[in-house]
Amino acid sequence: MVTKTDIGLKNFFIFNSTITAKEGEELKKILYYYPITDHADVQIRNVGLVEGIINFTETFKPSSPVNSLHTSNSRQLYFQPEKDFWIVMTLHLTNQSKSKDGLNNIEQTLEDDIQDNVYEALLKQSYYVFRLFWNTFKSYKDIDALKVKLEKFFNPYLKCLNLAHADILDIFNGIQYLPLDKNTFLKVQCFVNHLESSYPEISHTAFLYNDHLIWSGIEPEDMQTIYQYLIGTLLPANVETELQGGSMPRNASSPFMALRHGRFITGPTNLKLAKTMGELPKLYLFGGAKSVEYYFVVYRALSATVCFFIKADTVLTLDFFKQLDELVSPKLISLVTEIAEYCSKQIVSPSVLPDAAPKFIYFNKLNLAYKSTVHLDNKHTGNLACSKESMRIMADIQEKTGLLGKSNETILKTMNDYWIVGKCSNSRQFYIALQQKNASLIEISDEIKKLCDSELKGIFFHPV
Amino acid sequence: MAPKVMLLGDSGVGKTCILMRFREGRFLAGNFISTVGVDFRTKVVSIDETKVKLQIWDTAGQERFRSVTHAYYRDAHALLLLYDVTNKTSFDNIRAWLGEIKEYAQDDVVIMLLGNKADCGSERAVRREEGERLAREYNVAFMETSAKSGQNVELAFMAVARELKYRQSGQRDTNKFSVQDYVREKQNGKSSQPFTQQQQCPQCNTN
Amino acid sequence: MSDNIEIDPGAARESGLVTTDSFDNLERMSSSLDEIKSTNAISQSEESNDNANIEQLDESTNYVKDSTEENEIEVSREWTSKSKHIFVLSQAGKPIYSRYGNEDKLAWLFGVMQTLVSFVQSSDDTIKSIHAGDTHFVFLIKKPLILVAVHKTQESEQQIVTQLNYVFNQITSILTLTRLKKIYEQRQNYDLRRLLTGVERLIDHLLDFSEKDPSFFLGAVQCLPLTSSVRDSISSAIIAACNKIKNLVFAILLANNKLITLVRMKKYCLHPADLHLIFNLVQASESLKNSESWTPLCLPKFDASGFLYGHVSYLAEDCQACLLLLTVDRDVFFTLSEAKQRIVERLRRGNSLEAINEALVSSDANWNGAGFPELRHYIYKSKSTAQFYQPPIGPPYSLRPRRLIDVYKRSHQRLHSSTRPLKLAFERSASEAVLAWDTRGFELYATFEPLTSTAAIIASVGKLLDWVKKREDKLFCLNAPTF
Repeated sequence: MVTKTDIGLKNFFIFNSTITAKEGEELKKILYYYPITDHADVQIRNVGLVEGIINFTETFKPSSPVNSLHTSNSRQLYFQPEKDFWIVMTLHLTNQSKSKDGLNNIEQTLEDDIQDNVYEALLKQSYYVFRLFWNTFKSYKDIDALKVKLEKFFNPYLKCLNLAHADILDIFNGIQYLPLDKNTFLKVQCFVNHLESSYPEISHTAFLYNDHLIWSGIEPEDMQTIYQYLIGTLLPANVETELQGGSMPRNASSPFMALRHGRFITGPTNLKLAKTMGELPKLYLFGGAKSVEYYFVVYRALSATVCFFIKADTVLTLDFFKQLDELVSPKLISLVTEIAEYCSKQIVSPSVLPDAAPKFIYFNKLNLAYKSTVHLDNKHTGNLACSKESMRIMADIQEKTGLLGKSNETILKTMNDYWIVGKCSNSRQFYIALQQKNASLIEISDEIKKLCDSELKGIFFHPV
Repeated sequence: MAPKVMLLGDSGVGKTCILMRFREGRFLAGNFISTVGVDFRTKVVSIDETKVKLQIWDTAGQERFRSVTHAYYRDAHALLLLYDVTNKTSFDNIRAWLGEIKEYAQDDVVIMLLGNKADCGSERAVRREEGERLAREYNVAFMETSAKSGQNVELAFMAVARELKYRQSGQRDTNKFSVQDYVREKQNGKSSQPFTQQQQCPQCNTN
Repeated sequence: MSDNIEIDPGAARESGLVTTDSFDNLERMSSSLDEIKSTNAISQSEESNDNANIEQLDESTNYVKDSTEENEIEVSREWTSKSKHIFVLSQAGKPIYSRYGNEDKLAWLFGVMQTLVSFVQSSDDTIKSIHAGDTHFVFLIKKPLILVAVHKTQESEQQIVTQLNYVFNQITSILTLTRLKKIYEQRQNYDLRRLLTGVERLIDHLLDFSEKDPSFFLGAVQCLPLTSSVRDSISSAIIAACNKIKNLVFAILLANNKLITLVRMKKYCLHPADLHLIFNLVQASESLKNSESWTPLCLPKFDASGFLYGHVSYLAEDCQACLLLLTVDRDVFFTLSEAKQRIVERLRRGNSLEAINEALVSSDANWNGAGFPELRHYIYKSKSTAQFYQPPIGPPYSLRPRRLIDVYKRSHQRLHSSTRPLKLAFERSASEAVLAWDTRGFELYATFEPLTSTAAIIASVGKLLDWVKKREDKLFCLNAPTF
């Protein structure tokens, strides 16, 4: 009935109408436009429509600026990150095929698969990643310089935009924390304190084990973006090179030998051969009153990743990195071994769980922590333990949860007799997919209770 | 004897109000009641000690109801055609209404033109003389009425009823303009009553 | 509780109402009139009159329309804070209707809306909605009109589109779709308002009505509870008085927005959406009281191309039930007027008028005694008859019944989402617990005290269904009588 379809990026543009009001100069308003194959007239038209929609909607004094436009063939999402600057993303549905019931039916069906809350989150993320590396739009006095940076950032960024597998996790944009016992956690904290006191250049530190954050000294909102960048881009790319570098030979005697030493994955990546420091990435943190620029130094040993945030006006030498490496490497390796040991006792990998077991996603808005047994990996490739349909229903619940007050519960039974549950309390959200076909509402609510007790020990959910 | 009388005119000129004043002796103040299609009501009056049951059809003035009102034109024995003296447009449309009447109604139908809302005071937009002139042109009876004060309402219906009764009893040919005569007579006879045009509408004199 | 249609309370094999899917967006239109007319010959002259009516359009320009050319751009805070604006305009952007404010003063806004629509159209696409925080803009393009809703309510786009369709149908019901299309074929720039004088109030009323009455989103009709013997004798009285009358299509008796009975010509059913327009007309027209009216009426789902003619009257001074006799003949007022007299006589003789009056005042307030301590309110919809039942709205919703309707609307929208429909939706907040359940035969929406356990809720629902079953022949019209 419904053919398989993909959501495609139709266009993506950034403009500022206040740059010029003159007729004939409309093109000047456009700071970035994808795809460049769109003729200038088309670009001007598209921006003109958005301007029209912004003005039209403002007439009715909405609670926030315009978020989205739905048409039969496409979905347009808007984000105004800074005054007068608008980012616009248009998605279209490809592979539309005619069927017996006519094209309209299918368009309708596909249209509802694009959930505004999910894709609006993707749009916002793109801005926050840009801002992380290139600072705010309005920090550029020279429009042309901004245009260059936008080009440099968004061209590759849009190519990697994962439209097909975006889901409720993108809305949360959360962080996976690793819960440790008090003792191990203290050791991590001591390690960080020791480093920061030995090197006053280091303003802040963040400590990750695999994909999990253990310690962060920066504001959660900043960490959120950095975390996504690390997990989504930087670390996977690095693990790839580690693997390709032949460090995983067939004889498994010493698979970790090559990594017995830690190394910098930004900055001078090979200290033995390095003559210079290489190019050090910089980023902007916004946690305080205004943005501050830092060098972003990432060090990795075994499964641990340590990020150092060093004020960008600091003069850094190769020597600094060598010393830091010598101090960090042995301590970090012993610390990681300890963490690994603790984890092997605690963590049950989601893939080990029986298929019929309830799958859940948990998010805490206060510390941005999330946990998912629905997602089998962090790669955003749609490797899920429940159906895509179930994921969308969770996002539907999420969209309405605001209407139900601070504490609420939603239990839904799908046409396939699956159950999807959403629970909210104390800024915490808990979503569960249960594949128990013949269960009753009573059995499902018992099951949820059990799951809350076992998985979210100590987290209090209001009865309502 | 049950003659059929139809009320016609633009929407909002006061057809239903005139009827309410005549039937129930009260004025519907404030709320605007829009007639849906055609409303059928009856009222029994006595003419020279004979009971006459008037069937009164109150029509919706809106253009969209014309198709259903046209269907009843030909059954009507008398037409009360109203305009609103405070609304020039409703007066200007009278010619179009008379055109329709000519097309759809019986040739011998009794027609009376009524300028309603004569109590309006300074809001008046159509002078009494203009109504009289138009009535003369089309050879129909004319008077100004007020559903609010009751001025001439009874008179209008009674004049029509009387005319219809005369016709019924075969006095038709001698009474071609009997309505006008009757009206003139009645109005002159009652000139001492408070509802004279001069008092109601001073600007008619000055103009 | 089973899916078996014969066991579900309120289920019937035949229904005088067309059963609907929820969110039936009123696209399908039938052409029943031609059928009826061809089987029962109607004089040619009237047919040609219909045409004359359309051609009369140009002639009717003789009628002068006053126009005030005021262009005022200002919109007040009070205006922008309205929870739902509705605009209707022509494809050329001419204002036809605005729920709030003067269309002429808002002409610029109508222009903007038309521009947005045609802008998107120019790239072979269709604008559907815009969302800005709490404010949603829904567009419905129904040639030759454009309908736009701007709302700050929590209703879904589907629900709003349904309402816009109702507005469109209300306009169609006044003019017929055929005439509406012809008008714009002849003159794109036509100002439709001159044909719709007085209809604004019908639309205003329809909007208020559809916002507070569940019939509209349920696509169903509520019946006045009457024992089946009373209802049957009412139907028989109507049939006996009317069965000799040719071309009578429907006889509808209703009171207080509830259906008492519907008698129909064989083979023809009435769509709930058409019946809702009739309810609206009756409720919104003060003038129908204390007189007999004769009015053309187009029922868009029945046949959008032409008029039925309706004899509309209240039964008697002492019984405020409204009777509509709908025929395809344009000039049988007197025939139907006499039929009405016969109906009233029979009903009076059979004491049916008193039975109706009793049902109107009692309004079944005793349901709460049936042993559902935690159940606050419910709606039961029988799908096979397109009818529903709800008890009167009590505390804590008595003062703000709209809040309860909003809760039901949200549940309904979860169950009937166009892409992700559900079988069951249970929702618990600090204010209430709501169970919405869709089965093959019925839909149930039930509101409970917020802390009621799911076990208690399921037990209550089981009992409730039994209770409805026991009283189904009182709560629903289970017969579908014909002339």
